[in-house]
Amino acid sequence: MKWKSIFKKQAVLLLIVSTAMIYTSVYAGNGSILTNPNNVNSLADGVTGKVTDAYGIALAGVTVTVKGTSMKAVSGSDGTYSIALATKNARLVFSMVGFYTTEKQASLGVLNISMTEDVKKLDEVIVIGYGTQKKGDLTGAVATVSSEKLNQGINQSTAHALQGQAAGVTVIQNSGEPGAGVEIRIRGAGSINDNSPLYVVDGMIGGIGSLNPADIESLTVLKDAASAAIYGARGANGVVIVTTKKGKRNQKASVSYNSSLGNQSVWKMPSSLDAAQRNMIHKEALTNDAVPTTETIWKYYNDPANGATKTDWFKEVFQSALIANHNVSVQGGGEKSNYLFSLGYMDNNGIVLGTNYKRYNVRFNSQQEIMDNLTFGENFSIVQSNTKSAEIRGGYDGVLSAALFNMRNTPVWVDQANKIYGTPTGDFPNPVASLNARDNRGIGNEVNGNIYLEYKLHNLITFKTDLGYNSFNGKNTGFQAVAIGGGRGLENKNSYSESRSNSSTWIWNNTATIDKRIGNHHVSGLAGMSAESSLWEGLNGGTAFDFSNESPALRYYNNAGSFPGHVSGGADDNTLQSYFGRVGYEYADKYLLAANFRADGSSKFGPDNRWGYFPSVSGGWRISKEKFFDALSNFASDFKLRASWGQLGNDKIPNYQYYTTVSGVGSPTLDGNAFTAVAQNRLSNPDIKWEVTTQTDIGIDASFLNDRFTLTADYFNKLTTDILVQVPLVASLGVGSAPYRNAGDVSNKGFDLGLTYRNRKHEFKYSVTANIASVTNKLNSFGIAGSSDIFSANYKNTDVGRIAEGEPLGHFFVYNALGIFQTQAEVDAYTKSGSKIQPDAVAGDVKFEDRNGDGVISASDRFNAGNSFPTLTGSLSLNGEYKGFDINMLLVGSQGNKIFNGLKLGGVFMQGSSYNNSPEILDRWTTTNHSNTVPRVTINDPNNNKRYSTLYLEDGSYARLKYLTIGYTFDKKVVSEKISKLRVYLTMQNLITITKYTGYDPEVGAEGSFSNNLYGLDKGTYPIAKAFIFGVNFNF
Amino acid sequence: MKQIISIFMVLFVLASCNKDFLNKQPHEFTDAVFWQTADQAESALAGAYTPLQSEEALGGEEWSAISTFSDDSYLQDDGYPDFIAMSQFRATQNNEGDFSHNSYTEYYQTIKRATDVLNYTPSIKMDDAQKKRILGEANFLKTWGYYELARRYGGLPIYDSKNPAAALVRKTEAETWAVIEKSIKEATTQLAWEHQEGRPGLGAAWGLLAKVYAYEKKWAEAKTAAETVINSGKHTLTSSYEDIFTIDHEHDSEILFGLGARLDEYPITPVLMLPNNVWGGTHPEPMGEGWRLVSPTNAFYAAYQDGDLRKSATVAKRGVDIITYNGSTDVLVAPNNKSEVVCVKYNSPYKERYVGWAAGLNVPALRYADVLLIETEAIMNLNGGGPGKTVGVSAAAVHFNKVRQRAGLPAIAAPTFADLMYERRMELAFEGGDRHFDLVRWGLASSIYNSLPAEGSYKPARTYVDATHKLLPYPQKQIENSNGTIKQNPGYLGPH
Repeated sequence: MKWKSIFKKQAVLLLIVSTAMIYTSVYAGNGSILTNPNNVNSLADGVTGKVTDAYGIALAGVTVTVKGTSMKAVSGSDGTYSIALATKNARLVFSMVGFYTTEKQASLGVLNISMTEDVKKLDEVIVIGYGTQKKGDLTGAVATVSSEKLNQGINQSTAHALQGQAAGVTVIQNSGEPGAGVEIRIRGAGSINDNSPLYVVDGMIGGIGSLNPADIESLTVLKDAASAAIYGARGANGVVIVTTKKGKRNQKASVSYNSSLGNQSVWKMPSSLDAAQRNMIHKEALTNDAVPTTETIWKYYNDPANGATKTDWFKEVFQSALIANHNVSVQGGGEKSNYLFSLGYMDNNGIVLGTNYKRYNVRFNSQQEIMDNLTFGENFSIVQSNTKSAEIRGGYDGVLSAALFNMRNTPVWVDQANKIYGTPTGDFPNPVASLNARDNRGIGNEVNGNIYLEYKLHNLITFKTDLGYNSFNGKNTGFQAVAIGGGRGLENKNSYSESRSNSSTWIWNNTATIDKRIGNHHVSGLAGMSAESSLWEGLNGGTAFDFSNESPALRYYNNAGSFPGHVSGGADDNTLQSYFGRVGYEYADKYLLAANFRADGSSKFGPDNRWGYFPSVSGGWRISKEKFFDALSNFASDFKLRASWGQLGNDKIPNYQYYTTVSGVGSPTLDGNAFTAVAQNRLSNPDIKWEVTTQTDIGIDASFLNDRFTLTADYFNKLTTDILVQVPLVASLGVGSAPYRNAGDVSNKGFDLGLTYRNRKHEFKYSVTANIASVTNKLNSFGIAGSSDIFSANYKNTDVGRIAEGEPLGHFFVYNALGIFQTQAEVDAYTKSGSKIQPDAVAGDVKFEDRNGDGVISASDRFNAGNSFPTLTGSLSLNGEYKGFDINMLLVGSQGNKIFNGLKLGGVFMQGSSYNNSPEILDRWTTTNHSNTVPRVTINDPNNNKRYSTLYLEDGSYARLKYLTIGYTFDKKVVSEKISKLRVYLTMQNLITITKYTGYDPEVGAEGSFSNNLYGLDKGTYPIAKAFIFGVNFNF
Repeated sequence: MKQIISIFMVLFVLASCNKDFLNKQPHEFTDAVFWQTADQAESALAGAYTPLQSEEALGGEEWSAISTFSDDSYLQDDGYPDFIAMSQFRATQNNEGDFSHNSYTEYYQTIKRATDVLNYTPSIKMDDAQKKRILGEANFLKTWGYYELARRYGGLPIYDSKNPAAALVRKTEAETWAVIEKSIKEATTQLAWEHQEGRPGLGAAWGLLAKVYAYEKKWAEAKTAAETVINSGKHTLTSSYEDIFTIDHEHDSEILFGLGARLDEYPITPVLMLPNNVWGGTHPEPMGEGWRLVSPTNAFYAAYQDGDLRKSATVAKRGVDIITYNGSTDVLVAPNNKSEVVCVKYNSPYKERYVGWAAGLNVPALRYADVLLIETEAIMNLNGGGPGKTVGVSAAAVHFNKVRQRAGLPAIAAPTFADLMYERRMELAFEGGDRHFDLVRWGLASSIYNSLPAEGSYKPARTYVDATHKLLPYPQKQIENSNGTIKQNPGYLGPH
């Protein structure tokens, strides 16, 4: 296996490099180990002492200043300091990041001091929309995630890294495939449309798909209307604000290198029937179906050669795969400037043969104070991503379906030397042939940047103008080589298709902010405007065939033998213009008030409905600052009550929906040739406008037990009205897609809860954080007379999900299976007005509920059989430090969601005789095994046991140890003072998964369009990998 | 400092001034700029052809699978239980989301697009002959859509761009056939005998009108319409039956209307019928490619009269018949086929080499032979020889025998209705389900279907009840999407 040698090489290299680094550093720093760099004057005219924390642990690096002078000292690694005093009575100020600054009267001699850790970080400044705010002053529901937290587990993308880190933020992983996207939902699904949040990176609206998590300084999630209202028409699904790392002023150039290398494998190896088991089951089915033994199908099973198992398809399809990550950054700053430069590289090989994702990140930013109070700055990033994907899901092409349904008496190869594959009996291809022959690639090149100019006037008003630009070039290619014997779609001829797209967006933000404190009054304000324009252009080259040479270098249209296809292309653009403002007022840090307003004009809507107006107000009361609270202050050190209300919009629909258009609809063959064809294939609606979400939030922020225990809790009530929805039309209108209409309303109610407990036992420092959230969702009404439901997703052309009045979005709509008829008498007794409800059933068939009582089982008997969205999501993270060791782990989970296990169709419910089944079918009903969940085996299936029923639904609850990282940071004494940090670590991803779900993976995500709001339709999901990753952090 | 502030002020003003900033036009035709030129009318007309060549409609999966309603065939693919239940007359609703739903949708897209062409083209300035042809083709395509759907489902919603509500209510069967008759009659005044491959000419219009009259039992009119084609002298039978279904002959004058196909593009009729594992491993062949959607029953194979040349051109029996496929010529093996018989009617493009899903063979949608037999049927009906009668009608013999003799069978001086039934069945087998629709319109479906014994597990004994099964259950999604204003057919689960 090739990866093994690569893995070994890289691992050895890594080991040598890191050992060499440690070794040289120790030597280089040898001289300084025993010397104290902070040694000052003699003790006679000064003070000495030791600084410790509340637990008596020595604190190194504490700055000691003589108040009113510039005299300074820094405590050494044993916590001791010594400083000269100008006068005999002076006050010493002890300060260090993360601790309360302490002042003490000092006199000559010894002064030992213990400092109190500032754990609640109320003065922490966090990034909010178009500005920053102190955490203690927040009046909205805002969650922040630090760089540290985002990078503890080693993640492919920023969105992956957010999983489990903030209460009320659900990360839905669609696939374990390298490079696959992840969707984020904040506080449920407010719309029948796209429910993804708005992403803002360094002030620019954009995506976070290709953002390197290592480049992130902090991430803020704006959950309620008051926080997100400043983003108006696009904030209804919440806002994720990302701030990338920056250099700091007055800091020497420092280099940080972070490298990791690991091995990934499938967390659970699926299985299927072996050839002998398959023979037994299929023969039983033929017997049950009374297929005469003279029919040829019996010959297959009676041939002993077909009873021999030759292949375990899953073991052929899954591989153990290498994952490598390298990040280097250089940062620093002078008196008037700062800079940061970083490089990132990721190489993620998938656990399914041949899948791969590579990403190269370059990022640069700097700030220059070019005149007094006038600052110029910029952020730039360049990303290239390369994805090689496989056909994972899909009716006949999915390799994970093929691995399950292909017979195991078929060999992988008939003749490997001559590349002749073992041919499957049915329509699924040989999955190994499919993976080898299909080469689907995507390349994306992205350039992001913004430049800004900021001017501070008398420390009162700040003006800022900020121009951002994003450019994306993408190319997708698919080559399918000929695979002899590989099965359907692979044997005949090779083919190639290519599509390209480019898009660009510019945004221009101009803001003025004011901040003034007069006594106990603190007033702040923001006024701004923004203009934004995007253009997308795409070209689809069609499919070409018959390449006489399949070499990868020759995969261009020029080398094709025939080109019957039809080239298509088009463009799409939109603009947005906005005005916004914010006013804040605080009195004595006790009473907090804020109001936001935004007006957005969008080209997506017609001139009369173009402008939307989005207000919000919020308030906070820090009860703990009141006199009457003093009695409680020993117990609760901080207690704040918050409330907010606001309105936000959602405009995530395609452009031009208020125009009727005539567009390309393929190319019929007329007079033997392709003929350009057009049609009006979509109906328009000139009256569409924003959908509006009104959200109320009540929350508390509190700290107890000397700040050891902190709590943030929110209750919210979201009501989305005028939802933009495509109500399905009757086909007799002759158009492919329905017009968008503003109709109906959806409510989401729920709570988010974040709890943290921090403590320290001697040298063992630890914290435990739990995030829990729950949302109840309901479509209150469609608002369209007569309309009651929409079928939202289907599997193999049969509806699975439904959106209906009075029911939650995203529920499964199937028949209710009451069990298995154990005897013919039970079938005969299941009657309505004397006639049998299931006349075609026999003992062993599924008993379906006749819910509407009309005496037959029909489509009207389907019902809301459970929700695909969890009732409760949660995470638990543990962080501990002991001497040089650190341990970090994150457990995530969901509860109460259902998954539709699509692979049961074929796996448990037989689909023809050409396909294998899953081992679950061995528990089928027979006259001796009275199963009540798996019916008798039958191919003819006269009772239609295989119709979608509750037998397909499984509990999708799970708990997963996302990561467990154990690290060790070498003591500077051992290494070198020149090396500011050397840490080695081992990260184990997805080590433990607890679930009852029987499919490939409980993190199913959504199939295809996320706007159908159905998250648990499992068509054979690419499972998430289990990984062991070794890494080094190295700063100097 | 003042300068700096004024710069920021100017920026604020600059950023908000352009009035047209929010006006964005789509980068494709809007209604306002379309329907201006002849070329636009031509491409809009082409848009009406597109849905027909989709996966399910004309020459597609539903078109192939509809023949399983008859006594000729069964659905080889088990993956469509709802369709199988309908074809076995067991269904109480039509929840079949693929064949039925998609072909219904495709035919209506053709209807809507053709109707748009009929609405907008008259006001476009262009050559009169071209305009007449465009309108004639549009009328023909619109008729074709309604005709296929009316045979299946009875009364239909009639598309009206000015009245969207019309799409929500089904007209009666008689009203629907009146719309069909009117639009195809219009086409006969607009089309010319000469036509391009893939487009209908006057022969197709008169031929389809003859069939429409036959469904309406207007026998005198049917005879006249059919004889208009016959007497035009523009159409003849291809000399060999087998040749009709080859790329070389797909545009013979026998083909009144053939849906155009080119290599690697839909329609894909040949692969739908192609068996899988033809040689059972004894000769090289690409596996998994034949969709073997539909296969003939053993009984159908046995029903051919001795010497009928259409037999070897249509069916092949395992262990008996020799077929040529992918460069090999040998006795058929096809071990996976449930019956012993496969359909070989459309295999010609695959004889030398398997060329891919879309073999580029036109779909024979309407043939001259069909029109000859409609004329025969009209004459029989006008002379007391209709369905159920045993009397021979010598007046009907001339064109009847042309079809029969091409098939290598001896002429019959005074053919009976049973003779006609045999000819229609064997002549048109696997060409879009006429056998079933014929038996239904003749009122003979129950007597024939219900007396047929079960054949294996794939073609069980069936119970056809005329009052219910003369029409398919209406596609359930349409009933649901209309919120019940579209009603169900009698005998199936409501709403009625």
